[in-house]
Amino acid sequence: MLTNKNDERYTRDLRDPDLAMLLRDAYADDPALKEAPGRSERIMRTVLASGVRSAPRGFRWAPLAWATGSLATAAAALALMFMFMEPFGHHQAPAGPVANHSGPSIPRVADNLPTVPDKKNTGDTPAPPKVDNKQTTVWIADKPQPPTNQERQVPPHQQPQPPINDNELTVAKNPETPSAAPHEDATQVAAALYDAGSAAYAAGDYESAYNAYKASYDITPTPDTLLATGRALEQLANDELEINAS
Amino acid sequence: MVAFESLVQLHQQRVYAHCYRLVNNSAEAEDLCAETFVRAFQHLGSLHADPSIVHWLLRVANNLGISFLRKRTTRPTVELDEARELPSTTPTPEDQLMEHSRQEVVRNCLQQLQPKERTAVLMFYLEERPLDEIAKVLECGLAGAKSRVHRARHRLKALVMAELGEDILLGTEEEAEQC
Repeated sequence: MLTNKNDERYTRDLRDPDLAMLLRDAYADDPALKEAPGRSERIMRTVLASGVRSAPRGFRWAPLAWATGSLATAAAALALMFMFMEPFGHHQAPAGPVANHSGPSIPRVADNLPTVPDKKNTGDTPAPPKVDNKQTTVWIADKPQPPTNQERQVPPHQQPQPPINDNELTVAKNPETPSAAPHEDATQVAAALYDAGSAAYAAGDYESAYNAYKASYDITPTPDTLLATGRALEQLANDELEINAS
Repeated sequence: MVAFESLVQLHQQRVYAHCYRLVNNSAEAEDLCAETFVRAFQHLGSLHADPSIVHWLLRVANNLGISFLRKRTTRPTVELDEARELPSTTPTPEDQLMEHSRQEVVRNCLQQLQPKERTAVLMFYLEERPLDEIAKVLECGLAGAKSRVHRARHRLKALVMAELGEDILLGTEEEAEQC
């Protein structure tokens, strides 16, 4: 990597004495480019007549604002990243009472409660089993226990489901809700970045387009964004090849 | 205010020349130059400590020029100043006319470039500025500035050769050898 890209090696490919002379001739002896007497005074009169007030030189808020903004942006990016990372996302089925259910949605546990006969209940409909308060179920990724011999013979979806505490059921009802709002914000941010990248690509600024597409992909990876990122990078590489070939 | 006046006197010629080459009109260039220094006066407090104040001025002038060109609905015009003195190396009236028209054609071709490409090629080949300065004015990276200069050069040469023929660049090579 060149430490000083202004040196001869980096700009050698751009040297074109013919074009330089052509441009010098185009503006040679142009009276409009000569030093015009009184122009500085005219500019000063314009500045004074505009009524613009000079900003006072006080505490330099710009570095503080920049640092605060950068920290806030980094914190928001980290929060979004952790929210959508697999090990901590809501899509992964947590260990515990509902670990055997497949898919992101948690079915109604009441439908799957085993019909354990109760000695005290003599009616036709057996009462649900008593909840063992000593059991503590946690919604973290515990190491799954190996199936017993009985469980191995019975398929998982036919195995009796252990009871679940009502408090956990309340929490588990709508797993999508807590993350809905941040997910929409992230999608909007990614869409805005994609649009900015498209505008830069159309203007020929492939470097800015690549950076915008990459940032959009980091937030919301989609095939279209990946393709656009590749195209911007390809354009940038093509320019580099043309420069090196010329 | 005295310090700001000295700032104006120091940089106004360069900022004006940049605006003039961008919009190809002296009156509009002077307006853009004045607007640039109005913005500079507004942000004077933060500019004092900035070592690259001329880059900031050129960046603002460039952005103002691009905004102006977008609003301008008429076709780009070339100022025909009848009092212009033509180079004395071309003695005959026909040669003078040819030289004058050649300069106008080159300027017209420059106007056909995108504003940022025009800025890049003028700053690199005419003003002989380094790439990092061009990158600061165009608000892009070094690779982006180099890419822009490269694209602009090829486009401009293609436009000039289409208008004046391929001899134009051979002619300049011979002049360079004579010099």
